[in-house]
Amino acid sequence: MAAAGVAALVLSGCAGLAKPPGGRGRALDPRTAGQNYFACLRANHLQVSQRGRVGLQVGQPPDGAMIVFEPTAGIAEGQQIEAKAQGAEVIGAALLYPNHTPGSELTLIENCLGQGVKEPKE
Amino acid sequence: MTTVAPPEPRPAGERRPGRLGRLAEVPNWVIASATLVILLAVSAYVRTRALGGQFWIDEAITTGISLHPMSAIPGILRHDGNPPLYYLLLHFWMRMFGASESATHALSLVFGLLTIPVAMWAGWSLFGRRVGLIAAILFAFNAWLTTYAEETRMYELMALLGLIATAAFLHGFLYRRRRYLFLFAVALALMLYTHSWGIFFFAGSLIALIPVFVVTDDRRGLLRDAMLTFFGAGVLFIPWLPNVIYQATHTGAPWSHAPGLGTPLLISRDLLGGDRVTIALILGCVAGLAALFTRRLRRSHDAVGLWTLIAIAAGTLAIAWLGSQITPAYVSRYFAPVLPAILLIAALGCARAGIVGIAVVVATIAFLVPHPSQFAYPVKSDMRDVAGEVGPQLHRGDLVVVAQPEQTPLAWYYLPPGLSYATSIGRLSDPSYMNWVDALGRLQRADPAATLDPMVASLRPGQQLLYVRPLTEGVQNWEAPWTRLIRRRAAEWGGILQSDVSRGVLKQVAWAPHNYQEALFEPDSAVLYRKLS
Repeated sequence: MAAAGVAALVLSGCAGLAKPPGGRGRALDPRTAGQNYFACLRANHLQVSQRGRVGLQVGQPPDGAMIVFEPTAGIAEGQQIEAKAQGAEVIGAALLYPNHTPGSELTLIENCLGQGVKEPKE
Repeated sequence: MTTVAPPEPRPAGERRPGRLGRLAEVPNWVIASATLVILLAVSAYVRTRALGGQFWIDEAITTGISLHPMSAIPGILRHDGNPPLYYLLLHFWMRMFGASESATHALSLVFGLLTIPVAMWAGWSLFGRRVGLIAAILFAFNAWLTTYAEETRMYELMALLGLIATAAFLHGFLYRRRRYLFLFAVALALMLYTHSWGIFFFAGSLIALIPVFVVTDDRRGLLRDAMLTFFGAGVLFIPWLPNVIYQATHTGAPWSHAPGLGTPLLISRDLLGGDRVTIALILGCVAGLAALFTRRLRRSHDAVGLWTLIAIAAGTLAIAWLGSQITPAYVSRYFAPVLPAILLIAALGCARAGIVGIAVVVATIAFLVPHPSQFAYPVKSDMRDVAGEVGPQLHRGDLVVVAQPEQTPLAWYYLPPGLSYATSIGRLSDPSYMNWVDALGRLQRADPAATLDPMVASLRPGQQLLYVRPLTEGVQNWEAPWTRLIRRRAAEWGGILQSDVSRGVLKQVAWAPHNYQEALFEPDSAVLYRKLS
């Protein structure tokens, strides 16, 4: 009986008490969590690097495309409405600044960023 | 001479049990009149929930074209891609009732309501009274007809003509009531003059001659009548044929895709009103029509009528689908010509399904009437809101630049008069319609800086430039070659304007909308700039 009780305690996670409950948070990277845009761009043989916490650089600046992920698609849309992202294509939560990226390359980027984007009501 | 025996006063398979059986004793005109009055009243209520709703792109283009002098309309339509009948009718309608949203929607409402008595006549005269009554109900509460009764486009007219043509086809070819062949030819010609899908219906009707040919005992007569009828409709269409050829080779729909295999979904969701209605109607059809596939009944009056209706709908859709692989034009709002055949099949099924059919009809009404707004869209675009905000700040001579060229008539409709217009293709002399001729090529060739810089340079200090660009919500709307390029150009033009602000050439004055209602089709935002130096 006692042995069963001990076994139950162990199995129910008593061992986990060794680790304090705090500090388990984990930041989600919009570039790789859920839809892995970073991997998608790389899979399309694009030269891509991470910039800051939420940015991607495709090719070399200033000619290469730049991508910034906003927290939500609505915020990205708001950036356009308020004229704070005039040079960007809004695709879901991403602001894509084409700069001087060639059309064929831009299509690959747009296709990657379009993955998992929720369609508006229709 | 007769291909299939015309319907008896009480057709085989149409049962009249119980309470409904007593309806047989009530004079037909009383039943028909009372039913129509009720259906028209309820349907009119349901179909006016968004009568004053704001236009979207297509409606503004339609209104803009129709506001031109009558003699100019056919010429403008060469640049648009549609035949002229609806535009001419709308032209006269607007002369009487004005060009407001509710006034122009009302024309579609009239056509939509007319489908109800015509459906009753069609069902009744083809398959008997019960089918007529049920057909009227299904047309009165159909989701697609409800949606487009509040849209300034030709779709309701097309559905009405499609219904007349479908009924006349069955009367004329299947039941060999030859006087209806003339009606069919005229209705078919009018469809050709209303929308490009008239051509697909023409081909679909030819395919539908096959089941008639199989059962007829007068194949020679049938072929002769078919040749005369289709040839007659074709001859009536000859005057417009050069425009069709020009449009087919120069306009098309670069905003659309070649269709996939989603037609059943489109029919269920957009034509019938969703899964629940579709399942209910399928249930009614299975219960009522299964017997027609048995050896005993497969050559019966109802069975051959059913096969002919199936052939009209399936043939038209198949031809349209194949044609759209080359020139995409396959969206559910174009399905008007096949809707009548589908609803007549459903009415026939429900009428033959006894109590199950009655339950299906009641369910169909119950899904729509308690929520009459579910198929009415008051906010198809947000241009009225945008124009309402920035319009008072605009002055005569200010320049409106629209990144998505086909949105220009919409901006023109809602913004104050006296403005000049340009798009990402270049300056416009007439912003009231969209010139689709080689539009994709012209947009590809229009270098953003080379197009926009001279426009900004031409402004005097103090003059303003309103930049209108689409909100590129979602992905599906922006995958076609045209829309994909629009999204890019909008960003490129926005970037150039932003750099003009940075260089002190322009100053940002305002933006809109401050209260964005999620719109149904390609909404816009706008930024107002003032020239400084």
